[in-house]
Amino acid sequence: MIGVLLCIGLMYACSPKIKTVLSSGQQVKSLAYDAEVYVYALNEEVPEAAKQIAEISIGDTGFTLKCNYETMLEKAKQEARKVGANVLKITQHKTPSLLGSACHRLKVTLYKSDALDLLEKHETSRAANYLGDVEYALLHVYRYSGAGSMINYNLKLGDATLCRVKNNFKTTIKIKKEGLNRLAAKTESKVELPFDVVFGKEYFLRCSVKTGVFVGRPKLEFVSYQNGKVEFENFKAKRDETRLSNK
Amino acid sequence: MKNKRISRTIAFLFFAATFGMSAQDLVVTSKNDSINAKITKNKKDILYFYFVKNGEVRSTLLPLKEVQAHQKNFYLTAEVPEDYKPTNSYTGPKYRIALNGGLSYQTAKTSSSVPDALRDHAKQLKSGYNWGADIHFLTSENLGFGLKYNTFYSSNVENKNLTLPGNTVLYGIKDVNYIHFIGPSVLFKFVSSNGKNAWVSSTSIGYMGYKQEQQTGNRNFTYTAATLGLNLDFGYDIYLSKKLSLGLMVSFVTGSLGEVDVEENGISLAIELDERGSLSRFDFSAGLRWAL
Repeated sequence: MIGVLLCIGLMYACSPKIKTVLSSGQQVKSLAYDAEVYVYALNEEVPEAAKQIAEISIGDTGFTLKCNYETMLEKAKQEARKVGANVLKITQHKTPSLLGSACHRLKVTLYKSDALDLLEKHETSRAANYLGDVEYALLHVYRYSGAGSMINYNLKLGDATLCRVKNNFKTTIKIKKEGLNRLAAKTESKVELPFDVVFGKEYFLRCSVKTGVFVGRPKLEFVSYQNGKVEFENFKAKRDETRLSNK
Repeated sequence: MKNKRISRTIAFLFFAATFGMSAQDLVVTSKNDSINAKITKNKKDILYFYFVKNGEVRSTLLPLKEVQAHQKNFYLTAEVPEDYKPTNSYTGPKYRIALNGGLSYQTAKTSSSVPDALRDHAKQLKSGYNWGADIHFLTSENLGFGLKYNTFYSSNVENKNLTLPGNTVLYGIKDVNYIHFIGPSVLFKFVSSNGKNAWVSSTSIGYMGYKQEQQTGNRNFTYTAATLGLNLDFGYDIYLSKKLSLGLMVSFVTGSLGEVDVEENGISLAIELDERGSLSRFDFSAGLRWAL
């Protein structure tokens, strides 16, 4: 609340800090506001013929309010459109930490590429959430270091406990209960999420603790396959329990 | 005519007992799945229900925007057994019982109105012992509500003549102090990530009773007072087993007095204090905790 009131007077400070450095000799011609910008993750290579346009860094002003991965990536895409780039390559991704920033911080190189067929192919492969003809789904659970770090809670699928969600933690669980299910966690209050399990798919669950009356409440949110995969892979968790267990 | 009405009633009751009582609800999802379900609640645009999948009763929920239609008592036969009871979301211990004992130190400065001859005596009375117990009903792993009790005890004897202002001489003095606290309490518990210990904190506001038994020469006085007290605990539990743990705790207990009743030989007198007397103290204690 105090943060919001403060931001009425400091509206600029509540947005992420964005620094753009154009590559020398570039003519800037902006793209349409809804033009497609193709994202390449840390471990992915951009098409060879792509021409570098700019480098940007998106960080935390110290007052930045909404700075989850999706928001920061969207900011990066907006900057890309401004400078006429249709390819966005993430070169550095810093995840939130308890003693550092609560924001995702990105360093991104922007490119212009005319190889639209290659870009489309890449996008299709990124969006392909398919493990193969298997009789399970994968649930990737992660929690960044941050507020409520002392509070751990059990994540339940129906009546079964899937894992204990700790601060600075990630794990992967094999789910064998196809169809409609319920995910739940409880501290001072209980939160529940519907979970419609389809075999052969991967799901990404971002966990955290939000402010409560006494000790804080669990927060569970499903993240899209594309964003979740990038977040999960880039997150170097102190408690990395990534392993497969049958549930 | 009467017989006909009775037989109709019996037929209706039989029908209701056979079908109506076990009727179940319909949920049609936005993916056109029709589910024979047992709707438990519809709250904040979310539909909560049970249904049977692969012979197993599952509990789930769907936002209403993902539900095309739902109707109570749509099916005549139930898939979810009537006697099905979901397990509680919290399956850990329901109660936490703690016993504590340790040393205490009162933090208030000795009042300037205490004569020089009694200052050492008053200082000795600041240090003492504490013991107590509390019980909490745990609504989740992290939160509990209950009752807290503790007592502070200190005593001191001066077996020498003490000259007070106005050349009054006391032929020795003995004081025994008790401060009792009892009140409702809220407990917060944070189990470590390895599950072998926990940080515990509790807050309690309640009744604080003060009693001082004083003996000077052949005169006996009893001072009593009551006030509102606050008790804050910060502790660490080391799990010895699933049900038993060893606890170390620091507590801050505070309250203040404006008036004290003095009683001698059955005669009581209320004395209003010039400045409020502080009962603040720190307790350092250890004890056992049981999770039941």
